[in-house]
Amino acid sequence: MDMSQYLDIFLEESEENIQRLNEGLLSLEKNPDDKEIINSIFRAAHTLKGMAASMAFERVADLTHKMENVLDKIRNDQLNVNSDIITLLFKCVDKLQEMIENIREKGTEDAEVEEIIEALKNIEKGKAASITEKKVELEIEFNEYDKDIIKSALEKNYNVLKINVTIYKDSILKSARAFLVYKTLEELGEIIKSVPSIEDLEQENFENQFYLILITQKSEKDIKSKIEGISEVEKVEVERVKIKKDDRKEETVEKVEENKQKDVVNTSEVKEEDKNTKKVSQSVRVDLERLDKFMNLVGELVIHRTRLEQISRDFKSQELHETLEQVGRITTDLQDLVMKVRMLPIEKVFNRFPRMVRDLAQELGKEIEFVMKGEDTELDRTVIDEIGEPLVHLLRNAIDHGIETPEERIKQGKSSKGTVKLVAYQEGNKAVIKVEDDGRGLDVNKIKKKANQLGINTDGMSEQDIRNLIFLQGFSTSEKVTDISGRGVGMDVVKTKITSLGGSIEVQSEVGKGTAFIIRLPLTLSIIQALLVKVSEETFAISLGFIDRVIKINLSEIKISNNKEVIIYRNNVIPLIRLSEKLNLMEVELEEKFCVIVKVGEKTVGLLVDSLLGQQEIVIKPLGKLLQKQKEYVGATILGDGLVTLILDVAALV
Amino acid sequence: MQIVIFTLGNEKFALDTKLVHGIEKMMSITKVPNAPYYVKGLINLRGSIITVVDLKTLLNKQNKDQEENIIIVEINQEKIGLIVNKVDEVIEIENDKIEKPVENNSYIKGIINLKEYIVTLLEGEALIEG
Amino acid sequence: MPRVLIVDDAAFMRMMLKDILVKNGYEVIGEAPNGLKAVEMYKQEKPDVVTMDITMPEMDGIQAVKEIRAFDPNAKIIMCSAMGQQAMVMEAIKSGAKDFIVKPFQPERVLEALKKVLG
Repeated sequence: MDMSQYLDIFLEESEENIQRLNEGLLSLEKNPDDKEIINSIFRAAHTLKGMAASMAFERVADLTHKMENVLDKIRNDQLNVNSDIITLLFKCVDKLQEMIENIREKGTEDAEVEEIIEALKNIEKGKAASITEKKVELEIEFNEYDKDIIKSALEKNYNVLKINVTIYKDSILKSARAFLVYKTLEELGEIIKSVPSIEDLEQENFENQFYLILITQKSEKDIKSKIEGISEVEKVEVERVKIKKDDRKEETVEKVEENKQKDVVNTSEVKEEDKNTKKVSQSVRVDLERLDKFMNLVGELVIHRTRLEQISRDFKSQELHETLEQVGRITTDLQDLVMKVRMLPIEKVFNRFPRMVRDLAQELGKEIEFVMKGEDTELDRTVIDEIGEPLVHLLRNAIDHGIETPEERIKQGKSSKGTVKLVAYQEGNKAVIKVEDDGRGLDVNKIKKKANQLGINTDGMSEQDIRNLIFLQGFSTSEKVTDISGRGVGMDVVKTKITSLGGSIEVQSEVGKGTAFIIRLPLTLSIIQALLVKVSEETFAISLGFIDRVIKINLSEIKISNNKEVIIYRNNVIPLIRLSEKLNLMEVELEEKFCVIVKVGEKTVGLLVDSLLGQQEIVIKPLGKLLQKQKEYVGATILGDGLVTLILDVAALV
Repeated sequence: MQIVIFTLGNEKFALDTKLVHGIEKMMSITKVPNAPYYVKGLINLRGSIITVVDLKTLLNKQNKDQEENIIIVEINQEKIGLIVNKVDEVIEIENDKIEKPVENNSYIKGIINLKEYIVTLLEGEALIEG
Repeated sequence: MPRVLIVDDAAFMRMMLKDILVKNGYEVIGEAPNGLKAVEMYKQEKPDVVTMDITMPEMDGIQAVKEIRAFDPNAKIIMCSAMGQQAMVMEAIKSGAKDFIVKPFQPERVLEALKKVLG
């Protein structure tokens, strides 16, 4: 069977289950006695095992199998949850994650699991009674009691049959297979004996063959065909039992009834399981490529609608105009719909954070209460894919620099446990994500000092302006470089990333009370409102999201400050960028040009263009591989007249 | 194999038709400022935006003749347009007719000696990656 | 063409099974991601045979077997189990499952079980 076609879905579902494992272990650590949590962890490991085995990823299957063994011991109260076990299980999850990543990237698991499996085995053995192999003799010996029963059965004209069942050598779950045979026969008569014993059958202490003695009214042929109707049964032999009179060997009676009882006990948890009524909404999985295609088609439709609107204006037909309005409404709805389809809950990004926060807190000796809210807030999947990294950075900062050590907190009159909040919500057509801590807050004086060291003049800056300096490149106020946040990636990286997603970030902080970073992101990226401008002979689109305002300027208004061109607008000095220069285009001699004032984060810049062509809804299409290095553009779009127009990446230009 | 033969200046070149998605008439091309020298710009191919490469610049050939066609090739799952003077014909040739190139150039797959002229068979992937 | 209902919480597993079945002349009339949905679909569709995963959210396979058998005592259900689920398979058999197959699925085993259960 060609399995490669299932790889994507395998990877996707594996990730989901690894996530479930992580979440489960986190809650198990807090509630070690909660059976439902153990069950949910077990289920995740189990599902993973099944999928991995099917894809022949044996190490993943093996590891999850060993995890299951330990989990099974826990849920049967044969093993107590302690931090060692939790930590080991977390390690297993990390290992699984690593293997899944390797499979995604290289196609093979490529990881050492022996050590971790050994550790699991040791834990499992810690309390477990070792199962000793019992040699089973396949010879039927009847005791007196059996003989009495057989005799009386024969007297009543019942058939006493010895049924010799052989199942496939490579059958898995042989006990269950034997049980299936047992159960089937039980419905046809009374089983008075089994060799090996029921216990041995149950514990898989048999090769692939067993005998049962059945008292029945059915014929040998009936019995044979019934058993042959069970899968993985290789051979069935049925013969009549005769009793020799002098056979007098002692043997204990098999307590079939008792064994049944045991089964019920063994499996009683099953009923407990899966009672959590987590809402599963009706959904279909859609290939992302198809979704993108759908998006593109709707994009086309928008383009042609715009085109039609242009034509309609020329024709001045009322009827055409009305119909077009209708078409316009429908396209807008369709567009909204397809954008919603592309939206994913931010949960997908958030759900790995509790684990991360736990590990970090442990590593840094901090006590942290981590609160997440609004995981169901939806964002375009492009944003979802990109937002994880900046959030990781902000959370690390909050834990490392924000939250004080427990001792320090107590000294400050705070509770020893710090709180880090990650909150998402929708606000108009923006999604807001807040990373908040109740730690020491940003020290304005420290930032000032650092700024002065870097040669930044902070005179006349407001406190907020000073706080915003942390977003500058090379700025870090941490006194000691820790392993966690001091790896040279600073807040400037966070800011650049968020800006490139068309978003903004701001900081609020009060010394001693805490810090909050507020990120605002557009809900969707693919269809935007844009301003079309002309520079030299070329037309470009600029996303309205960045545009503060557009002003007409006379070239004589351009001043020079610090060797750079600026304009003064409402008493603000705004640096000017000549797009013609940035893009190496011919400068057109005009007395009056337009200045598009854009805001990227805290930066305000004026972009000088020759003329304005109007505002339009455009569909962003990515550029091909040959143009991947062109940071000036976020993509291109097709306008109503069919011409391709580049969309400027304002964040990269300024 | 099947090849498509085209003219670039006074030389004939060819590409494996397996790579070729279509042949378009020259159309309006949007310039991409600051793009690599061999990228001519972007075209709207029935709703898709495609990067167009100036093949003569890429191959370092002088040529002032009129450029009539854009050959749309698919390389590494991406469609790319190649500007040529003119597409001549599509022919079937035996693999053993392909001779080793004299120049050791990664984007030249081989030389084909047809009766009327000599054709340089190009290697699509190498053209774009190199 | 025998009509089969596939029940498994992993879409991946459903895809695999479906692939095996469809290629071998079975008609997959539905797929359910949990026991609850399985019972509902069974009542609607009355399939000839059901392949039933054991551990699933909402309602597990064993409970689903019980409910389906309560609705249709002749229902033919094949459990889909993984290694290490012996006790649960037995419980399912007690509840009326006719046979079981073990993951990772081997197409020939799956087909054998179906053929035998359908008699």
